[in-house]
Amino acid sequence: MINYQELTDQELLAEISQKNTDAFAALYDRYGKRVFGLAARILNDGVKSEEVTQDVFMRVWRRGHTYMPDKGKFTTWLFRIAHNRTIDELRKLRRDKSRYSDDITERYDLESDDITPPEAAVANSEYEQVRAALKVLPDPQRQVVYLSYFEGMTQTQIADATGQPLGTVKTRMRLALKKLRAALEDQIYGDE
Amino acid sequence: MTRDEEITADFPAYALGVLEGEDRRAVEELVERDSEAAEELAEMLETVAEFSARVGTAAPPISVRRQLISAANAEGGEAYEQSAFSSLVSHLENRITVEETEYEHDLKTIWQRLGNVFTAGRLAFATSIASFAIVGIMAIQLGSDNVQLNRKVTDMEREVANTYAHAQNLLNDMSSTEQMLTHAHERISKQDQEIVRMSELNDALRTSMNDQISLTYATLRNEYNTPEWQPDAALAGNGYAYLLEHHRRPLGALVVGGVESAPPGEEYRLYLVREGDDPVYTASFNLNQAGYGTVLFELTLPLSLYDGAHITLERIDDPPDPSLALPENRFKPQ
Repeated sequence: MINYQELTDQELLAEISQKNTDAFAALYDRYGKRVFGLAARILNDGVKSEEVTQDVFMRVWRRGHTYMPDKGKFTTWLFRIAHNRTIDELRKLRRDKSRYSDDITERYDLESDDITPPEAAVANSEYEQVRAALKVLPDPQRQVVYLSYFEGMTQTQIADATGQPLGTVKTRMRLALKKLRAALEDQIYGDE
Repeated sequence: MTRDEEITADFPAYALGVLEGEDRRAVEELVERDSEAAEELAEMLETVAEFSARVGTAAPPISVRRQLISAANAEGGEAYEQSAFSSLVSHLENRITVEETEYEHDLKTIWQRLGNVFTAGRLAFATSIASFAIVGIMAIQLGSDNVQLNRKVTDMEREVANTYAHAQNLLNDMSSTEQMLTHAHERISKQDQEIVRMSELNDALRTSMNDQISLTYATLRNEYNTPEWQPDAALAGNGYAYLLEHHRRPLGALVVGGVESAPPGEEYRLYLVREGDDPVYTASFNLNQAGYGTVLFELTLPLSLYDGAHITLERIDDPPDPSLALPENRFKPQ
C-alpha cells in the first residue's frame, strides 16, 4: 500500500496524471486548507471560497500534467492559480455589488477590521508573519501591494485611485516585492 | 527605456496577478526568449506564492473534499490499491524523469554558456586581440567546466541505467510472484470445487438417510401400530421420535431422528413410566452420524398401560439410573 502522505508534490502529480484519486485526495489534504484560507481571506465569503477551492483543485486534476518542475516549485504554480482564481471571483462579486468603502486608505490599513480573518478562517502564526512582512513596507508600497493583491486592482486603477503616476505605482510594486521577499525569507529561515 | 525594459517593469503586476491582456502576453513572450528575465519573474512569482501560502489557513467544509473526489471519479479517476512494488516502479520512473530533466537542463546550460563565449569572442576579436586572449582563457575554463559536466552527465546516465536495471529486476520478481499467485488461485479454485462436490455428496447422503428412516418407519408401521407415542415439545425441538407397539407380539419400537449422536462412552436409554412406579429401563440405543436410529425392545406390559416414556443420556459403563429420567424428555401417548 502506498502512503500518499509521504510522496512529494511531484510524485503525487505523477499519480494524479494517471487519474489516481487517492493521490488527488492526498494533495487536497496537503494544501486544501491554505487554498481555502487564501480565498476566504480575500473574498470574505464562505460559499464563494468553497467554489474557488473546488475550481483550483479541479484544475490540478485536469491540468496537473502541464506543471513543469523546471519552471518553479509546485506550490508557486498552485498558489498562483489559487490567487488568480480568487481575484477573478472578487471582480465578479464587485460587478454584482459594491462591497467596499470608497476610501481606499481604510482598505489597506492592516489594523482595520476589514482584513481580520472571516469567521470561518483560523488565524495563525503564519498570517502574523504576513502581517509582519507587510508592516516592514513603507506605507505607499504597502498600499500598492494591498490594492493589487487583496483587491485585484490593476496598476492603472491604483494610479487613478491614489492619484500617483503609473510609473510610480510600478516602481513601488517592484520595491515592495523585493522587500517582501527579504522579509519572508527572514521569517522562513528564522523559523528553521 | 527599451521595449523589453518596459515589459520588465510589469513583472510585479504579473506576479501579483493583476496584469491583463496584451501586457500579460508580452511578459510571457519575453520570459520565453530571455532566461534572465524568466529567472527574475520566477523569483517574484515565488515571493507572491510564499505570501499566498501564509495568508490564511482555514478548514473548508468536508463536503468540498467529497465533491472533488466525486468529480474526479466522474472524470475517469479511480482509487489505486497499488502494490508496494508498483509504487516503487512509479517512484523510480519519476526519479528518472527528474534526472533526465536535470540532465537536459545541464546540457542546455553548457550550450548557452558556449554560445555566450562565441558571441563574446566575436566582439572581442573585433575590438582587440587582448579580448581574444580573455575569451580563450574563458573557453579553457568552460572546457574544464564542460569536462566536469560531462563527467556528471556520465554519472547520471550510469545511475539512470542502474535504476532501470533495478526496475527490470523488480519487474521480473513481480512476474514470478504473479505466476505463484496464479498457481495458488488455481489450487484454491480446485479446493473450492472439491468442497462444493463434498457438500453436494453430504446433502445426497442426508437425503438418502431420511429416505431410509422414512422407509424403516413405514415398514415398522406395517407391523407396529397403536399406540403411537411422540415426544413432548422439549424433545421434539431437537428432532423427532416415535414409540410403536407390535400388533401381535410383546414388542416395542423406537424411531429417533434429527438428534445428536451420544458422545463417546455414553448412550441413550429408554425408560417406560407408570404413575406411582419407578421408571422401567427398557432399551439402550445410539444414533448414527446423521442423528437417526431405530431400536426394538420387549414389552412386559402393553404400551397402552404406560403413562409415558423418558430418554436419558448415560455412561455405557454405568448401570441404568431411573432417577435420570427427566420429565422434559418424556414421551406421551397421542
